[in-house]
Amino acid sequence: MGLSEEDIQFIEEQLTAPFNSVGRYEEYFRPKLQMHEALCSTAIATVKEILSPLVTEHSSRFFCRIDDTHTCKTPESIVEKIRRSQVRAEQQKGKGKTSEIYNLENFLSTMTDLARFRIVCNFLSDVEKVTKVIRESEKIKNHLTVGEPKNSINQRGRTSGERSVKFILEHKSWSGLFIEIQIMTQLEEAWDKKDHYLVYEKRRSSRKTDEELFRNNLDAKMFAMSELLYVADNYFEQLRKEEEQEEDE
Amino acid sequence: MKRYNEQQRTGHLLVLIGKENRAHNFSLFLPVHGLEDFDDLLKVSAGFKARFHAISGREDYTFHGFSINEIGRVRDVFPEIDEDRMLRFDLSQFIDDSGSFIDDFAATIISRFICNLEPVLPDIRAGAIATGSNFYDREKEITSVRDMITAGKSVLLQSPRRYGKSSLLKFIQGNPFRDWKICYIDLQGGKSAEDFIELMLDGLMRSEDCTSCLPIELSSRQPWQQSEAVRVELKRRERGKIRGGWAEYGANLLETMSATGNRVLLMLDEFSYMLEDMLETDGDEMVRHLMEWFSVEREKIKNVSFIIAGSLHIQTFLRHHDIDGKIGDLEPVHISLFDPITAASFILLLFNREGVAVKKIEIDMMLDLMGAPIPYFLQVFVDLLSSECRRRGELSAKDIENIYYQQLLGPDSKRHFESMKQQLERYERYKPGGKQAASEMLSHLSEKTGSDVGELRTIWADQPKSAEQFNEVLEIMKDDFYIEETDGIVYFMSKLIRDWWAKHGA
Repeated sequence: MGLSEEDIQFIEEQLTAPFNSVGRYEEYFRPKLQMHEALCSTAIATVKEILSPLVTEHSSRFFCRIDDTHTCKTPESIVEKIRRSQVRAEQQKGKGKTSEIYNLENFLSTMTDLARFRIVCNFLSDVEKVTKVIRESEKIKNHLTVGEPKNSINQRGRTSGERSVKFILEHKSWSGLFIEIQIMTQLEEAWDKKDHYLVYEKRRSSRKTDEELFRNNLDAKMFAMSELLYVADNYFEQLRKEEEQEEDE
Repeated sequence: MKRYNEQQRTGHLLVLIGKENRAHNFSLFLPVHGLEDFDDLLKVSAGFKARFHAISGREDYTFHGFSINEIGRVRDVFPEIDEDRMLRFDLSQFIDDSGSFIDDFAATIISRFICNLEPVLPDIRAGAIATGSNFYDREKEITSVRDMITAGKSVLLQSPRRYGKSSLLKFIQGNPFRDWKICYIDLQGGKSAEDFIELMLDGLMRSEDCTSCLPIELSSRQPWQQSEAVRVELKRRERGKIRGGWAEYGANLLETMSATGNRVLLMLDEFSYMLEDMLETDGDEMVRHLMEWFSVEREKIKNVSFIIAGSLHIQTFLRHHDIDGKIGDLEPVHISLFDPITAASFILLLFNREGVAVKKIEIDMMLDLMGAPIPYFLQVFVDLLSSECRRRGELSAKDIENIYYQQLLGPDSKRHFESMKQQLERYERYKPGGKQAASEMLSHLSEKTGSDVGELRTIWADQPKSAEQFNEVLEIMKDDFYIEETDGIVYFMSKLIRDWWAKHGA
């Protein structure tokens, strides 16, 4: 999608020379993310190892793919996230609301999704299995602090986003070094890819409200599709159980 | 040491990416087992990054690290990757026993990347001339030679056998100095002044670069393009002229070269062995005559320089025969052994090419076992170990030691030492029984770490005449058998050669 005008303005005003240009700003961010890349490499290896018994046990149907195509947040996304947090803070001034305000000094230790990867599963129950393995793994707990994941799979009252489980793990020896692991079904992932292009990127690169931006209710339609796929995932799960029960009998 | 585990496909990619063109990139894939490798990975990444920033020639590249879930799909992460220039190493290969990053290895790898060597890794070339990226290091010697030649001087390139003189000459031939016409001439087998001129002619006829340096009747035939049979026929015709007067023919040949107006470099390999053989065939006087002639001609042709490659003993040898070699105009350049850091890096890369992950502690063990890292024998040892490692999967320290004593010093490796034994025949030239005496000297040396030079003189010199020869013989033995003398104590500088003599003798 590229940088928005606001992002470019942010780069020119807030980054110091020689990085304060569209041509050079990535050089400011990329070297700072090397530790996050290293954390991703090693965390992926551990997750693959602890999930391998599941793959062996359910080899006939189990599907679990690690998506490593964007393990580190891109400089473009970081700029956009910092800038938006600052805009939001301005908007919230005097309204009693507070949300995380990122800046160039704190983003490395406060943005919890600078390092991330995604585990894509076949059935809803596989998401649960993978979540359980990660939550209980000593191999992970030896190195990372494992908190309760944010689970939106069966969440009520949602208005946007894919349904997934998100772990935010912090390295025990490196305070402020986080990695996010997202677990979701194939259908939710497919939805997310489409939503990213159709809704998310437009929303982030524009100052317009959703009402102005999506006069054709595209955002609402996309959300409805997400919910439809949630229904589909549940139905597939039911079909799987029925089929396996029948086989057992 | 162990075979690289190809099944381990998750890891980290360190990449140097061209600033102008991202497709111009080199990378190192470092497999990881899990979070337990995080600190080592940080150490290695940071070490490579620091070394990259410290190294000269890096300005055209930027340094990056990427997380890799599956190396087979590396293009998903870095689409422009040049997989032909991606090396695989284990993290543990860059961390020493004390847990420190091995900066020397990083420096070697990054330098080879930045120098655009193709392929990046050297191959085992024991016994063959190492060319291209197989020619390893020698930057110091190349710079010395280049400086002297471009200043219009000629060079006497000296080293013991199997240090890589010929490989260095071939490297220079393949990487010519700006505007120089360069010709490599192998004098092996030459036994006379006529042979010397004929072999020089042969070298020129094989060189596209130096065609214009030949007499017009030959250059017009473009002999470098012709078949071997045609060249043999051309040489046969010239041979008659050479036999009719080698000095005049040679002078004309050099004059023709000079008259081209180009700067010409003739690299004469195996020069000292040719002189030794010539001495036996034609006698002292002829060698003296050739050396005088050659000196006069060198003086005449200012735009032609020479690299004369030979053994360390050439001056001693000529002096002993009361021959003024008139080689004072040649600037000596010595090829030394690899220093320990260069040797260790060389071993690391050789093993990598063989698909074997070797650790620094294992390299140190190899070097301890062998002693001085003579390039030829070092490669033989790596070859044996890597073959065995690929077969068994991994080798312990005990295995490495066993392979040294049982295989490298065993009967199957005899051929690697055979040429050294054949050199003993040459000692018969000095006195009847010279071969036996030289052999006894070596056996004596192999029994202890060092021997008084007087003891060796006693073994050699059974009569006053042979006592006079002793110093010359000792000099030649230094070239042939890798022995050295310090403060009157003579010793094998190569533990391997000493072990071999102790085990097999002559």
